[in-house]
Amino acid sequence: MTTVLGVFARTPPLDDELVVALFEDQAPALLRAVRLMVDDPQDAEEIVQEAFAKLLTSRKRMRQLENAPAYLRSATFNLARDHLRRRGSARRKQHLLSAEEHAVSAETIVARQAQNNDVVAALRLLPERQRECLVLRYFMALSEAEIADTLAISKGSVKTHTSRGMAALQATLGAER
Amino acid sequence: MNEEQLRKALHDASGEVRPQREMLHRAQLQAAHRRRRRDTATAAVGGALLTAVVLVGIGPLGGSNDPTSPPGSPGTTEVQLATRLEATEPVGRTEQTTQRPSLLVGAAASGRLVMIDPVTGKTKRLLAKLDEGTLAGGLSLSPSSDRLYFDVRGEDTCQSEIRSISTSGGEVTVVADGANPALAQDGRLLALSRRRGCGAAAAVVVRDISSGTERVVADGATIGASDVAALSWSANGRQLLIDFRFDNGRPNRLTVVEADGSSTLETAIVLGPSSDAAVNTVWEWGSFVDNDTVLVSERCCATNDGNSETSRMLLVDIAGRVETVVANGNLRKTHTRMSADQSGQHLLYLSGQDLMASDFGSRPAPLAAGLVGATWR
Repeated sequence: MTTVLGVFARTPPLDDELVVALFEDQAPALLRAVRLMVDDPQDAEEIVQEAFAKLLTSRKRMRQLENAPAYLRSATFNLARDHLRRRGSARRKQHLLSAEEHAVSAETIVARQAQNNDVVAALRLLPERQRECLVLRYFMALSEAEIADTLAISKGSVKTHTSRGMAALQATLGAER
Repeated sequence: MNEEQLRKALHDASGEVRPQREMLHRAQLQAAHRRRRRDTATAAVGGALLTAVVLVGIGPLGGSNDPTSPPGSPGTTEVQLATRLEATEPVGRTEQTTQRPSLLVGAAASGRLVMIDPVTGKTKRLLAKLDEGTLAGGLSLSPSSDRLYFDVRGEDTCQSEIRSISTSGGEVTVVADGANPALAQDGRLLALSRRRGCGAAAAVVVRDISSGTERVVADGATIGASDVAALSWSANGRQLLIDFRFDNGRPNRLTVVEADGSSTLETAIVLGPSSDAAVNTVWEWGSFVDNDTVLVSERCCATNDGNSETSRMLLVDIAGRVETVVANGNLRKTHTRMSADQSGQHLLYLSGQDLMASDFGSRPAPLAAGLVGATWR
């Protein structure tokens, strides 16, 4: 680890092998998790990309490489939450920002249809914390402590949100079937 | 549904995704760009503090409480800016609440020149009212923000006139024939484009504000350019970025020339996508953000219905490398009038007639509507 820290103590070159390894290790799961929460794959990509940009911007964080996965998770979920709030706000104000600044491609529509199953639809109806806890728990397989760290909430809250989210999901899916 | 079923459903629903390495590359470019900006801001603050210590003769700890420093002075703004940068950087949020420029001026399609609240986007004050459709959209504020230069279409649509008005109101005065006014950072030189009627070539002229003397720094006739869409100065005042336009469907040409007129258009830097980008990709409406970074509107591959297949707002360096993707544009709208504030941190552009604002490269948000031009300082 000393070697790793030594490398990142200097300004890392753009094609640094460690950054690439980190990306290949973390990005697929993060991208899949975000795609469960936002309905546009392009937005999901931008969110994960932005999380990496934030990590890479901070020399301090680059020196704490062992914390990088946790930081990336945290940043990604914060960004996804911001995105959903902004989108909701924009729709309320009828600014149509999502449609306007992110016009939908045919590829996006196909991807949306592929994703558009009952579980994801029900998941997206949940309050944001419940949705995040379920994704982190059952998709990313994190422990309650790790979820608490990621979302900056207590373990007790994680338990509450997870169990309420699960119950709501079951109720929604049960009512539909 | 039990936990195991949910786990499987989520895995199935999220699909197999393999993020492209390009994503990482873009993130690295964004990060490099932000680090450079932050370092520049920090250096500027360090310099300002050092100057304050030397000039005022106070200790570093007492500097921030200097009661003689006006709240809106450039030094204070820089300090606040950098402090907020250090304090808020990176927290995993796209929207930063850092202070925006204090003065935002817009030219409305209705012919109104208005002061706009930079945060809420609401109109604060009417500066002048001209006939509907006469404002061409070129705007430039003096360094002290006390005077606004703007362009007005003439009866002959190929000719226009630059006028100016005090930002506190008053009489509109005629400055010169021309369009796309752009004041240098020192406020002494005004760059403008000029064409002598339809069919004539466009030239870029630098005019000394106080003496009225002019010199041509780029003559579009040498490359057959018929018009200029945008004009901006580099932060150090040494170069001009010109968006030349051509008749007969020829693509535009984004060119960097020396402001002292020492370069020729045949040998000047032409800014465009690298060769591995799509053949039909165009960069247009460029505006300098600092000395070597430019905000451009990129569009690619016009379709039969006249729309673009892709549209992005990019920060690029003058070697043509993309540093940051600021936004994906609406394919149904044209994206024009790129501009940045003095710090280069706060960006503006028009999406159709909607004014979009981006702070620190974050995703832009709509600020106001019905505009043909806007600038802030």
